[in-house]
Amino acid sequence: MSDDDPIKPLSRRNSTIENSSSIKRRKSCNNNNNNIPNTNNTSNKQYKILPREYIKCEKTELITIISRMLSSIVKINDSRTSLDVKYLNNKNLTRFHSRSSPQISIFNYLLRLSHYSSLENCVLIATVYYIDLLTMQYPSFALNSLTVHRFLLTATTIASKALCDSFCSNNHYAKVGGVNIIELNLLEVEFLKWVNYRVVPRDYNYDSICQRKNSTGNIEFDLNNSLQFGISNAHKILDLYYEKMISLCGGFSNNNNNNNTNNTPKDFTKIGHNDEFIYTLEETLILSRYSSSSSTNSSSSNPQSPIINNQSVENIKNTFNSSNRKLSETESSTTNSSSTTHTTTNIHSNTISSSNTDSHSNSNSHSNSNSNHSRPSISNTSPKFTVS
Amino acid sequence: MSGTSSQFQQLEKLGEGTYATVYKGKNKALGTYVALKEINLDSEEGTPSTAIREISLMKELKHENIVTLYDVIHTENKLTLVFEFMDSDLKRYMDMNGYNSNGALDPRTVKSFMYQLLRGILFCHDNRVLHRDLKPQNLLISSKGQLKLGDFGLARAFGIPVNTFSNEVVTLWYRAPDVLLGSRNYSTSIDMWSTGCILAEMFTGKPLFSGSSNDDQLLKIFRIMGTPNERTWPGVSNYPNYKSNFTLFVPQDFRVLIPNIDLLALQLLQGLLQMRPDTRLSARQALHHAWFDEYNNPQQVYPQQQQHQSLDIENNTNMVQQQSYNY
Repeated sequence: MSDDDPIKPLSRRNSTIENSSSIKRRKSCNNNNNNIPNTNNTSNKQYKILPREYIKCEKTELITIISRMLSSIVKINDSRTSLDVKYLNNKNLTRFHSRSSPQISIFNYLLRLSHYSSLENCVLIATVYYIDLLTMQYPSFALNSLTVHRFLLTATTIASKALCDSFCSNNHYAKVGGVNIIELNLLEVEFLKWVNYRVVPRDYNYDSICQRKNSTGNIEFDLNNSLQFGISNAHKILDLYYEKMISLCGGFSNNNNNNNTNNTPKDFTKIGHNDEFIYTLEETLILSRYSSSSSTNSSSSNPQSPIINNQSVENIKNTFNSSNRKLSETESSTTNSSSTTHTTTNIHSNTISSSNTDSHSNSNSHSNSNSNHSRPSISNTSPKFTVS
Repeated sequence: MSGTSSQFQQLEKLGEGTYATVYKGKNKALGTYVALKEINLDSEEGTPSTAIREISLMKELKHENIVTLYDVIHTENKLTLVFEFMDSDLKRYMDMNGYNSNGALDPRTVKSFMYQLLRGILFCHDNRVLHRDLKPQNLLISSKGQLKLGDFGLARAFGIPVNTFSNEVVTLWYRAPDVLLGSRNYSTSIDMWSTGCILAEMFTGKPLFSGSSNDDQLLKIFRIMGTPNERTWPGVSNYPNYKSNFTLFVPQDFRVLIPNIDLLALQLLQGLLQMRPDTRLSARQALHHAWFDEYNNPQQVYPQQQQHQSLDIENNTNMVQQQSYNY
């Protein structure tokens, strides 16, 4: 067992090692998805439909979507804050900061955490929710290239322990994440304190409504309302994040607009986004042929997710364009907003009230358990992170 | 809300659990009593998941039949949860107040406790939280006869779909047969079985099914409820722990086991102790049971109620009156 191998802090990771591991990871992705074409062939767009229920979404695809989302947030926030720790004052320096940007891409880091710690889909989506939650409660925190890795490690650790019945020890999470166990424990406590331990997804906009109610002296608290908006909504909130991420980032591509071939190794935000894929949700496209065939297939989330033919491309292009527009709207709205806020996804604030995700049943959600769910032994994990 | 441990004077130990020790505490400034649940932090594990769950769920569940979490105090090597102080738990209450010193409670107290227990559970279930560890030790009793659910260390939000659901939940004696048979996609019915066991225990003073192992527990259940088969419980043979050679028992009559139970309470008990999880009563259904008519329709005058005007029950009825529009 190589458990005792020293794990270097994120900031000192060797980039060459990282590159080799990312290539390796890429290969394994290719094995999972036979449909992934050559990465360099960017003109060859492909379209994929993701299942409506996130529990059926394939891990690699979910991670692609999430890392696209996070990358665009990081990109926005990076452009607005200093990336050198030396220039950060005490107020802006958080425990989540690395000394310099870690060289592992968001995609690869998430893939690594997910693979070696068997993260469930709900944990991955809750992590995105936690960005909004933490940013709201802790205004000094912003998700940028210095904080994203420690944030992801902490958020996935907490989400697993809070939401899942099977989880690992912090010792394991720390080894997989490449930080010291003492540091992870501190990060965990820091996170929990800031969010006041309220880690079950809920509509926190409702909290402020309640507070406002109370401040006017009206303490009448309608129990029925609180039931609609409290943690009983947890699944709907995760559904909403899943849907919004796909609509925002499903057609999102970071590299294509400026054919920037000399990607500096520093720009880890551009790695592993499977740019050749445009993702849409199952229901956003209503293709009669499709719905009939997918209903006969027990699940549409399998490695051979349907790739749409040319006929329907026009349809999707429209969706793609609109989602791109939505993203740019998000970007402009964030950059125009006051400089102190580090708005993240903008998903939550406005949409939740109108969202009423039609209640698709979760009844069969357990049937489609991931085949590669068994936890791999930790011995595979450490070597990749040891510096020669 | 950020307190320090020096705010409280630590008094006698109230109990010890697997991961925590509970002390009585006194708020030095206010002179009020609290319960301090101290959790030692292990460096390997970080903040225990039981603590994360208990805190994150109890912060959301504010109800008069659920014990209130006031504060969380985090120091370097321990985590202290400050709860409202409750005088006793149902287990100790039965030991001290049961008549004939066998722990059985009088039927009126049973009904009051049962109603409050169901209201607490309904609130959890409406908020999509499973308690998963209902037993007399985790039901706290105040000197005014209030009952509140405590210890949410095993609880979980069940609305969020996950692939892994543990079946190592609920203390063995209160564990539902479907969970004992290996079910991993249980839902609210798991808490309702425990509630049935607690109802029977309040009437008799003794645990209904006190098995020593998973198999022994199943056997003890079958001995009273009858051994299930495909006819009485379609699909039972598909459970992982099902064996075709289970010893065969025929169902027993509860009235033999619980002689002092009245007919309506018996009906409710039978509804809760259904072997099949899909036919078990829900918390809402149980609250609407005719046994609770005196709480649900407080306008009507019940002769029984006029006879002994117990202060506790009266308080409860008032409370119920205020809340009854919610159901």
